[in-house]
Amino acid sequence: MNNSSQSSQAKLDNAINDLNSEIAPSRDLWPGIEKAISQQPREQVKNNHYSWRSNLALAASVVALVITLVNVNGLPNPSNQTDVVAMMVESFENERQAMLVSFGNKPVSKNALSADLQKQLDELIKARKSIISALEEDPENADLIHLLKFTQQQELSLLNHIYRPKWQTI
Amino acid sequence: MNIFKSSIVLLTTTSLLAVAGEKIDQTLPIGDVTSVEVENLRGKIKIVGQSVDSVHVVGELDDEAEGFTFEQNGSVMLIKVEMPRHLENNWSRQETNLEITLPKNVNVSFSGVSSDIVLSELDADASVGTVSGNVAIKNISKRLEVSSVSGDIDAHQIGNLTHLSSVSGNIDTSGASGSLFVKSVSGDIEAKSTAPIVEAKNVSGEMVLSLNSVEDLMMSTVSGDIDADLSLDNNGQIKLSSVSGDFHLNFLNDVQAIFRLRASAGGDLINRLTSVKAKEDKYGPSSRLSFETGNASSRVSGSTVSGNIVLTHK
Repeated sequence: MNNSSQSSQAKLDNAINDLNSEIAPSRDLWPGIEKAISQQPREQVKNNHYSWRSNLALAASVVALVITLVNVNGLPNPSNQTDVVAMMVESFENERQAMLVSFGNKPVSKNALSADLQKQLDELIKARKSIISALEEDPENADLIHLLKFTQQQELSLLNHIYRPKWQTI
Repeated sequence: MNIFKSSIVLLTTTSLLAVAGEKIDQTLPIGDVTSVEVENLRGKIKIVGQSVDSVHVVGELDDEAEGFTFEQNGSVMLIKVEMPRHLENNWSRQETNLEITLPKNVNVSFSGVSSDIVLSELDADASVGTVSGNVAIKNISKRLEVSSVSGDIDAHQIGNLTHLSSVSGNIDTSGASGSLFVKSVSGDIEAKSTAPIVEAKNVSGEMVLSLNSVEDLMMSTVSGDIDADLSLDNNGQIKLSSVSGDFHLNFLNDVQAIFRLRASAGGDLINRLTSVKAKEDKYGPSSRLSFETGNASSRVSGSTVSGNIVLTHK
């Protein structure tokens, strides 16, 4: 039993020793390997280039986004709020003048109704001035800015009513 | 079908012939009409929604009327009293007085100058525009928009989205559900509603509000005063702003909110909900009132320049 197992082991060792230590590939792989090695650095350069561009684009996008946000929302500081009020006042005056010009600056008919409207208009003008005056003291007050916008809208609406041709028939 | 069309043409033709002080009594089938437009310069128009399938106009035209249009154009039916461009100042004149009954599910729009309008019982949208005419509205279940210059507006049992605006006319409204927006320049506003969203603005008029279960309330005035009895829901918010106008907020429920109020030029902030008092700024005339009640789930914030804000409970 012992002799037979030893002879089997010897046969196996001999068979292993008889095997070729290298297995030859069926075709020559070196040209392909060389080509792959030579292309790799070029692709790495290309990838680095792409990454630099994307970073630049990302940075530009962030800058653009910040500029947009600042323009849309405004910076929460007093000078910016003052700018907003000044812009609202200017925009309102332009719109008001444009409206009066479009109506041809014609005189308003003198009747009880237009007298009442004129009184309302005076009231609105007074209110608008008092809000602007309050905003000079308290330029960060967003509630006052909303009130200013409301009175401006009411004033334009009232001017529209006063000068509408329909009025001339009453 | 031809007979039907001919009858419409005939009716329209006879309508155009009706002029100056004539009696009107005409009917058109509603067909595929979805909205009715009514135009009348002066006088009085009454529009009532009913469970009918036709539009019926009855009444009398103005002494100076030049024509009367009653016709269908696509999905719109037009009812219009034609008037001259320039009217005579004749105070003994007969003004238009018409009553219109129509299906309650068609939308209605009215436009007039000094014409009063009474509108009721509609399960549809309605819009009304008038200059000096008074507006009375009742039981409109959907969207409602009313605009007046010097005419008063009465609107009761109104729908889920309501806009009421006037210049010097007074506004009296109740029974709004959904969202209620009221604004005026010098007219007074009185509103009772259960609408969760309310916005009330005026310049110099007075406002008296009674608001139940309000979730989102915005009130602003320049110099008018605002008195409001209200209950603020949890997670609700109230915003106040005024120049010299006063606010008196009387809470009907145990309001649970964060309060942040500010007076920038001498206005008084008076708290009768808790013992917290307003603090005056070290420099200048401004003062602030900050406190919380209950679980502070809601927020009440506001500012005034020189007006007073008073907070009370029941």
